[in-house]
Amino acid sequence: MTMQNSIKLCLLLFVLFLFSGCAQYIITQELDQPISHNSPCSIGPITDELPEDFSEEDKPTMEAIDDLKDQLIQCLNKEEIFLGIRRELYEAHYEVTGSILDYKKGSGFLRFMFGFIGSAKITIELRLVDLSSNDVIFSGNFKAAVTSGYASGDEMYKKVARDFAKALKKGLKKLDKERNG
Amino acid sequence: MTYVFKTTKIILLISAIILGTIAFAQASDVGTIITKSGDKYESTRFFVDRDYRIVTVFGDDFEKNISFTNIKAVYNSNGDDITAEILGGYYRYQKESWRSENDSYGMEGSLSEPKRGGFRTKPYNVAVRVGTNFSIPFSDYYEGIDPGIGFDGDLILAVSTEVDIRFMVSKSGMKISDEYSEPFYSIDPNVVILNQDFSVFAMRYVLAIQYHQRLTRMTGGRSYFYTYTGIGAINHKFDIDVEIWDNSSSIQYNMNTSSSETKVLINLGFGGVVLMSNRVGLDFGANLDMVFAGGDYGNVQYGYIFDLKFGLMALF
Repeated sequence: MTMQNSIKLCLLLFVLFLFSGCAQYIITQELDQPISHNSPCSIGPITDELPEDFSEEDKPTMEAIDDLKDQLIQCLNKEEIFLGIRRELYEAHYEVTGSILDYKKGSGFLRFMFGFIGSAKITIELRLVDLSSNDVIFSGNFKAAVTSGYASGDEMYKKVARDFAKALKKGLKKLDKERNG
Repeated sequence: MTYVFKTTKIILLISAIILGTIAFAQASDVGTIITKSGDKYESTRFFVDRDYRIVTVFGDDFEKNISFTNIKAVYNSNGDDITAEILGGYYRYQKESWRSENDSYGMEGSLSEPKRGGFRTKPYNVAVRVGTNFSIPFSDYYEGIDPGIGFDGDLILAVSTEVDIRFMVSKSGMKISDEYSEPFYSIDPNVVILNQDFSVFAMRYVLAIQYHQRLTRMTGGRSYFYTYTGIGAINHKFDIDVEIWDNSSSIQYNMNTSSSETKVLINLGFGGVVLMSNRVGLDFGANLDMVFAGGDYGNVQYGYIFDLKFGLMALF
């Protein structure tokens, strides 16, 4: 009886642990139209949607936004969804835009010295816009955090970019499956 | 063991009931939601997720996630506009204007208006500090040495937005305690010691790495906190002046001798700066030095000096 209870407790804790590490995003607009794989894509503006009382000093810098855009380009290229992805591509058919909803730069020094103190985090809404109709065809709110002292705060940009690219790819596969029955 | 597992099961069950109740309570808000994209969800249940900044709308046969950025208006079941309450600080227009890391910081009236070139991420590139310190030596090594007031100066070079290199030079105003201030006495009745002065002071030279953090939420960016740790050297200098009167020859002798010794030290300190203007601030801090005084037969002796520091900081 004791061994059985022990196994049940371990399984319960394992399930709770799994939930705590689940995907760090919520999709708000599912992809309901296919994307032409021969279409180029552009990385558009990442806007400020932080709360009114958010201190200007604590907002991300232009350089941080540049890092995020670079990560989006890399991760989307890796998933091979579009023909090419660049910033401000004038002949693009699609555009990825975003709005930052929450941001904390954190401190690598504090994370290294004290662990969880100084964690960096970001919550961002990322959207894929069809430029022919200017409609948002796919969007979601993505969040990421860096708590390790050995990881740079820029890792969180990589996480959200990777999650966005994978979520978009997953949406495409789901659409393909539905179309093919 | 069985008791432990029974207790654990009860705790988990109660937690699940509480969480379920909270979740149900949160999901039971009913109202009308209008989105910027033109959708309208009337008299539907909705749940606000402040973690992902999402409002989830529950229809009869659908569930829709709406980002805060797409919410135009939210009305409760009484028809009251609760948009501001739901969205909080997110009830605003979007814009793309980000400051650069190289933008400079202006204190006069620029905190409320975001503009390019109006803000700086680090409070300085170079900072110079001059001040006083009250040094308290303690440990066996410093027995017979009393605390005293001294002076110090620091040069701080910003390496990144939060990390600096700090050079510190200080003269500690330690003094010989009264008990040991007159170590000489004459054993010759013809020799009289008229006056003797035994003094000590220490010069410290430290190179430290410093972390600083601007305190924006508490003080609106007008102050910052710092902490540092470093390694350096302390030079103790002893001066002895003795005036002797020799009765036999009726001659007065003045003897002056000094000696010094240098030891390695490591230090740890912290403090804060309150800015009075763009470039000048008041500095308060504390510092602890651990001096490797040396030793014999593998036993290392340590001396400690604790400082309270107060000074003026100029930022460039």
